[in-house]
Amino acid sequence: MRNVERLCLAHFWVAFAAFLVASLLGGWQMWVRSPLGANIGTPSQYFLSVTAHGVAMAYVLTTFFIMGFGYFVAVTALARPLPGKAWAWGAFWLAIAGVVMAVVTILTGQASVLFTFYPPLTASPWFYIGLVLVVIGSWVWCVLMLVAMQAWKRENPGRPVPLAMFATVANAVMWLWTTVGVAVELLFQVIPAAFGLIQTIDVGLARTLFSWTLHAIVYFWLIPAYIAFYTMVPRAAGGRLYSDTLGRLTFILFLVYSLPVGMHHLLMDPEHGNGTKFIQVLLTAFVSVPTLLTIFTITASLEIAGRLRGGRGLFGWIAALP
Amino acid sequence: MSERQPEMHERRILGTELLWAFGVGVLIAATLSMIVFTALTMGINPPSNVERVDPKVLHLSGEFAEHNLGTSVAADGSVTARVIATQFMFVPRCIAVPQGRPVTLRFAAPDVIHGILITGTNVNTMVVPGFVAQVHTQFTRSGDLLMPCHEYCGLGHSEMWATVQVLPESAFRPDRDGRVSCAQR
Repeated sequence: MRNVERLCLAHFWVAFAAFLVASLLGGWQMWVRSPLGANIGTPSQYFLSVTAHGVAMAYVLTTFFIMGFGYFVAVTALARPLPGKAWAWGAFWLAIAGVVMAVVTILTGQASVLFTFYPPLTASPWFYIGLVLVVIGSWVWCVLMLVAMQAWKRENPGRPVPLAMFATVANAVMWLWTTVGVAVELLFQVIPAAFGLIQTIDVGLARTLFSWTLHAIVYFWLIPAYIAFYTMVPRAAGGRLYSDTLGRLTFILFLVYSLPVGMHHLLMDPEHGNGTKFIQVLLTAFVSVPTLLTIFTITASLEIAGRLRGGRGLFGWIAALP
Repeated sequence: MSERQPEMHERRILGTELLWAFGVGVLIAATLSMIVFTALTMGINPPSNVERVDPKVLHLSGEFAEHNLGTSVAADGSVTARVIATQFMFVPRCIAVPQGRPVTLRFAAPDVIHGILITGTNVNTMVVPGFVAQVHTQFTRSGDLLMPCHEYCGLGHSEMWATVQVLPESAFRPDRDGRVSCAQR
């Protein structure tokens, strides 16, 4: 257990360090783009900063926080030791090596292509390879989450998996699917081009592959936030979850609708037709369903807490909340 | 009694949830209906012509060769503006268009991804190498509008913009070849 605490904390330290750096860079970017900071800094400094900010926020903070959070959920919700702890540490150091490669190439000005890459702009190949290592580290985490759930199921036949772990595994499955897009783009298009092995890139295909991953990154960190809403918030407020079943349905819907959700970033692109775009609009609209269901369940759970704390009347329970 | 109570609770919970789910369904159906309604009645569609073009030979021949760029009026009176988006400028830098007439804007890029929007209008498209990005529109007011590149295209991205000069019908005069350039100021 102690070793798992260290594992989780190591991930959180990296995540929050990345967040701190990204916040400072973000503040600097706002300042130099405002009238106050006019004519400060060069475009290469500015876009270097934007790239570092995007990579830190979208890849480093996200991946490390979710991995640490997942390990924490696996040992607390399942109340059993984490299987494959050595693999988890290996994935951590692999991802750290990837982050170092990305940071070095960004700081030396060889990777000012933003976190969205924008091929046929090309950066140093080691920038992309570093990010691939971060993604491979997260894949190890995904597999460990599945293994941990399977081990618990073998020991507890017939019992439902605790909601927090259920949702974490949904997140891992979503991530395994959605990172395939960026991995294919980097491994088969961008990295060969960065090494000079291929001379041209199908840009429409590259944008489509990246979009496969792009928006789902948001759900990758949104689901842990929702796990906290479903499992920690009702308990902290002194009540209980209104409905476990609807919670499970919500996370299944999140999994299903976050699979195609990135494609709506291509609505203004010339490489897709109106029919595809219309289908993507429909699918993207449905991703609001799990969020709207969550509003209901969490509000109802907090109402239970408020009434248990002596709140009365239609809205009186709100005032009784901690 | 004590055995039936949890069952009744479950039923009440399910009832409230189904009611909420119904509300969610109505909300989403209404939103989507609005999108479909505006798309059908007001012609609001994303730029989706899916027209391939070879970015390596844009400048050699065809409609995006230098002498074909800018605004031209065809024999049937239709107005088309052809623009190249390239690091870090638009060619031409100023695009003349008529006020109150349908205009077709066609963009192509020889190098990297760009994007355009025209301020104060709903004209907005990505310009992806390998494809022609096409937008149909109608400009309602005359005057100069800013058209910046809105997708990161390299270190000079912030310096990349063009002007769209919307001319009243009286000032929009094609020359013998049907071509119109911005008025000199």
